[in-house]
Amino acid sequence: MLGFARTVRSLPLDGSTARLDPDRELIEAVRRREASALGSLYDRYGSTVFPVCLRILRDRSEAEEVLGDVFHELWNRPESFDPSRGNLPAFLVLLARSRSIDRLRSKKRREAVVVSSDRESTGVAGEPVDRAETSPLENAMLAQRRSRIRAAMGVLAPEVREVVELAFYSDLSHGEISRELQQPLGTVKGRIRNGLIRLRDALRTVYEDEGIV
Amino acid sequence: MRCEERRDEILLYAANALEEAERRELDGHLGSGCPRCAGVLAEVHTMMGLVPLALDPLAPDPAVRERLMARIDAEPSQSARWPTPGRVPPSRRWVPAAAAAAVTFLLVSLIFGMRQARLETELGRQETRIAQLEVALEETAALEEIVARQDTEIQRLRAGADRAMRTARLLRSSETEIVQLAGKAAGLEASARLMWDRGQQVGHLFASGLKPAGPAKVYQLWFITKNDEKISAGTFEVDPTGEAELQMAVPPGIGAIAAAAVTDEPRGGSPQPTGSIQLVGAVVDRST
Repeated sequence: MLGFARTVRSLPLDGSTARLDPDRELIEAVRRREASALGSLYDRYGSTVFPVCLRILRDRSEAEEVLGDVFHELWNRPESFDPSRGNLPAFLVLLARSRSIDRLRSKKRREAVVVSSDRESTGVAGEPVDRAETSPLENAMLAQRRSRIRAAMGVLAPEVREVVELAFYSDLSHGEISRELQQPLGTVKGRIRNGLIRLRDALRTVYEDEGIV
Repeated sequence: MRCEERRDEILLYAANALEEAERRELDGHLGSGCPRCAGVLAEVHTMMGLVPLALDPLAPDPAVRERLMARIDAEPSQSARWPTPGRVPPSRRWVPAAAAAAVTFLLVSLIFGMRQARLETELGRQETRIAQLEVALEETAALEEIVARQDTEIQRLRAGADRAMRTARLLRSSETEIVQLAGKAAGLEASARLMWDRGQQVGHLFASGLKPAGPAKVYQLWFITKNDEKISAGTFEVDPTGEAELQMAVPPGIGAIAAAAVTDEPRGGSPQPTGSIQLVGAVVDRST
């Protein structure tokens, strides 16, 4: 117990995070209304956020509109990003997911959702990402991270991964997923629950090893 | 539900996979500002934010960036300079009331927003401090418990030391008599040694090998005089190892003691022996 107490006593009283945040300076600059800082953040994470929008909306032009909206929202409400609740890329992809689902619902579009556990991309032809703004080392690290996350997703059984991906990348309710996949609702809920728990455990080593908050 | 039991529930909450009633309950708990559960939720958001990172990066059309930056440039900047104080040019004297009210409203909103942000930061610091104080309080309670146990141990050791000192005085005294008691019943391996100081009129019994006296029973020591009077010297119980100690004051005027015995008696003792004799021993007559 005493060891835990020493750990708690070592927490900085000003509430700051204990880890370095590579995006902190840019976020602070955005808060100071420096447009160039937002441009830098777009360059850094635009190609990470765009596939999320495209995966959900299945329409390139609409996905690009939502992408712009996401970064514009960050510009207008930088205070909505709280570093104590997660890192910036996680915030952006979750925001992109939310806005994409909002757009999907507003248009009342229900495309047949095909989920392939073998497919590594969105299935839409995309240009190779020109990572000129990142160093070769950063590119290698990002590629390694993708590989580790995919490996973590691979821990899930195919039928569980299918349900988890639908829950994440679509606006379908559990009942709609159940009808889409023709599986009992209880089975769908159980697979989502167990899948997320296993995924959490598998991904924990990824963000702990990489020093992600 | 304790916070430690909410980890899986928070995971499903973030994935919008909870039943409505469960979601409302957890909404309320998170809204109360629980720092532990907020930390768990942050971890879950980090995890969920990693899932899309498994997708291959895709570059959007470069026009998206151009449109975004143009959109930002077209918005009024907050760093625009305020009119300098002094004489206002005639062309600027007239300000639409609605525009002035809007500017005032924005200023007030900005001030309150900044104040709220400062208060939220301060609240976060206070919550961290409270968590630290709670841990310190738990440590203090644990230390108090340790001190209490040590106090009890110290008292036990002091009592043992006192007994040892009294025994040592008995052994040193030239007026100490010693009686060896042996088990009366067949097969009973018990024995005892009784010492008493005629001058100080104090005595000490060491017994071993005795079984527990039984429910509602106790052992009682008797001095037996030459006139066959049985005088109680006190009651005792054995410890789990079958050993017992008894210190007693020898009754004044008891005269010469011919023997000593131990019987089992009802709890609280008896005025005269009623139970069976467990141990007995005679005083050696040195006059012969």
